[in-house]
Amino acid sequence: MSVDVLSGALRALSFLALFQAAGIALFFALCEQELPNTQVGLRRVGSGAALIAAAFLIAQYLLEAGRMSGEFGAVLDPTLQGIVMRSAASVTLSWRLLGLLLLVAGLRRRGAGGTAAGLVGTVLLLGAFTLVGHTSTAPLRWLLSPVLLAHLFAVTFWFGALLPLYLVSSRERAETAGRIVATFSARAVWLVPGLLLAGLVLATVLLPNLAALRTPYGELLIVKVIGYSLSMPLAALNRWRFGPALGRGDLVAGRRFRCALAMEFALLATILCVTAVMTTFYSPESPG
Amino acid sequence: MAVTKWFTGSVFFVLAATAYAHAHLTAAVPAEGSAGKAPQQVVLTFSEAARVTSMTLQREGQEPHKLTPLPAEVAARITVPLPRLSPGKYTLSWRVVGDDGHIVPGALHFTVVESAAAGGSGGA
Repeated sequence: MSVDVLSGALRALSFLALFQAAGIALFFALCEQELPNTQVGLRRVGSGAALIAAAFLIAQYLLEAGRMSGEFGAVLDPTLQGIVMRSAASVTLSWRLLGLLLLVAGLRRRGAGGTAAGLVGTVLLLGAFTLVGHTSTAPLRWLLSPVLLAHLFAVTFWFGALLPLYLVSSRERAETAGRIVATFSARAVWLVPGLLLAGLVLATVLLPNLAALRTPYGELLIVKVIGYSLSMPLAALNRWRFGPALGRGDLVAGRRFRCALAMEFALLATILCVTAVMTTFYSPESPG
Repeated sequence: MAVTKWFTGSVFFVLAATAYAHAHLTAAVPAEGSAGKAPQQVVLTFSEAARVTSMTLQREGQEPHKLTPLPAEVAARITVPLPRLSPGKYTLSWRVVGDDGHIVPGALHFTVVESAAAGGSGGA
């Protein structure tokens, strides 16, 4: 395995854990008071995801010197490690670790204090994405940074809520579960299309022309759009059919609701992994 | 209400941060696919300031040869001296890192049809 492949894999895994942890914090901000049977378990899952994300992020950071040379042996090269330490990667890692620390602190504490810590932690985690990357050199950076942040916020809200909703649908009382699904859906109905809109704005500004869709960056972008399109019918089924039926105590609908959630989770996890590869190895403005 | 204020304040704090993007090659001497006399140096021009962290030169049929020392400065135009090259096909590979910490690999192919004026057999 090359140092690039290992680094890309660590980045993808860190994305999954990071968005899961932040998503649970957002889920608590939405309905913490209504989770008598799932709150403790979700706090553990969220904290565990945050710690796993931190471990993957640190491992990926330590590999950066190796990636600079293309060899594992360079990981111990003091000159390259010095370059890594002085680079934006260090600032980004600091923001993310601080964000994860706040998330864990927030998830350990009930009430407004815990919610605030979770939200600030989420802002730091997502804000770190605006410190590096393609959006920042575009002439419309003043527009792209907030759009990227909005895009990431919607991803976090959507992806991060799937596991909590799965647990809520199986552990909470039917009417509680139905109410929580309705509360989530009322926000998601705006945020999920907003995610697509923000993504389209980013792609329109960043891609130099339509031919760029034939580069590796463009092809991976198309994969993301396909994954999003496939997940929409599942989200719609849960929003208008299985979710309301779940609230009425329909056990079959509950199983179908969880099945659709699991499929959505797999699709969104794939999109996150594709994004990790796309943003690590490719650039919209240059060929392959 | 307090939570909302914290959240809004944090968002504006985040947006105040400075950021950079990937450096990619815009020009090179010798040029990609060129053929001619053995170059004594390679000049790479990038879309933004970058630092070379690795550079190897490989003559077709031979093992890659690491070029050292590499320039320590961060610049959009980077010059690296080459050893004496004998006729043959060469691949120059590099990795650069921009201010954002992103690592960008690149490669350049050129052919040496005759040695440099001083003559002598290749060092690579």
